[in-house]
Amino acid sequence: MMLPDIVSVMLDIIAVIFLFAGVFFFMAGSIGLYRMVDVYTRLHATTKCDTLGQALVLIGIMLYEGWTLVSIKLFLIIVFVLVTNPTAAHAMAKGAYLYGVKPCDQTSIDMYKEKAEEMLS
Amino acid sequence: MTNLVRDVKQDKAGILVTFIIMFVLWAVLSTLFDIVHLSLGILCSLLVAYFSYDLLMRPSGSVKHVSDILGNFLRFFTYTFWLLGQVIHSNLDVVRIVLDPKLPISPQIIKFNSDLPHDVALATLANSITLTPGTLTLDIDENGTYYIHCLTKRQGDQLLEGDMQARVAAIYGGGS
Amino acid sequence: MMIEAFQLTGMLLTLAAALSLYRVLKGPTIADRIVAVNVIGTYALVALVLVAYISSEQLFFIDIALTYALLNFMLSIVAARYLGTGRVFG
Repeated sequence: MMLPDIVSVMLDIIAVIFLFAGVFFFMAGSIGLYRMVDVYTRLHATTKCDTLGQALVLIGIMLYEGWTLVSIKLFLIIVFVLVTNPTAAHAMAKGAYLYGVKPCDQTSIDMYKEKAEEMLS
Repeated sequence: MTNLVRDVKQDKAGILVTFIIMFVLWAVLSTLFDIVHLSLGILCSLLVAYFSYDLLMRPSGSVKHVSDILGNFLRFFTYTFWLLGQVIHSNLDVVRIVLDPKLPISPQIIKFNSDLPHDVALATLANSITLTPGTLTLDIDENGTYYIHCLTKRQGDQLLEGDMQARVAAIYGGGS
Repeated sequence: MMIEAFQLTGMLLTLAAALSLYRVLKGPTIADRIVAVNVIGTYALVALVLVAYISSEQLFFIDIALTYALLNFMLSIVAARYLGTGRVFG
């Protein structure tokens, strides 16, 4: 008789842990966006942290929701963002390079330069 | 002649598979299971499947049987679990770099060649590279050359060892 | 008790979005601004899902979040294409 109560409380606690882990990664992504030195390094921080952060927060909400159709919708959102976020980052990085955003001074090797010049000419 | 016959058969299979995917998606997203919405869903899914099945199911691609699709799917599923571990690892990596007061980065843009069979495999590898520690795909050209932006030199060297490329090649290896 | 957890998550999310807003306003190049807007879009997506639970189970917000994910992706693809090639169509 007590068992279902304990299980649901445990699930809630796990859900809260997931929520705050997700927010922690969001925060880290924002701090990365603030601190990094150029577009490409900023993309590194935001793409990875956003992708995992949204997955963790939405999994937390899925645990709260349980086995319903809404959970499947949330799962669809997770998969969609998991596929599209790296694609968008890839497109942004290429667009920024062709637009003429220079990599920062610390960049030691740049093998994309010739290719970009060839594409622009 | 035989080629033509097989193409028509493939078209039908492609339309059917696309229709089933689209209809399941409709049912899940609408969450209304009465006769009006379901019949509307069948109509819409049929239209979408008829006009754009070739975007989802490549008729002349490497996929020849339904079993290939299933095999690819299963291998992809196991690969996804490995990738999830890498994603968590890369996030902890980013957190460590971002919260370090000295900001220890030494970015570089490198390139490497790959010999993956088709564009779905290329796209899978590109997205996986972006999600793994310290690497970001800048561009892929027609010959399968990848241009990668690395956050630190060590991570670029790790990528060049080609572990992930072998894994992605193993997913689509059966179909090519 | 879970509602309060969602509210706290939403507040922290807003804080993170405010930090990203600095990059939108300051960002040396236009690419920085677009990256930051994209990040804020992802936060808004998660915030929409949270709103669905905070405001007494208005579950249609989840459909809006799904659409928002699509729009967010379209935004960065089109913006990147415009930055790289100087045109949107053709």
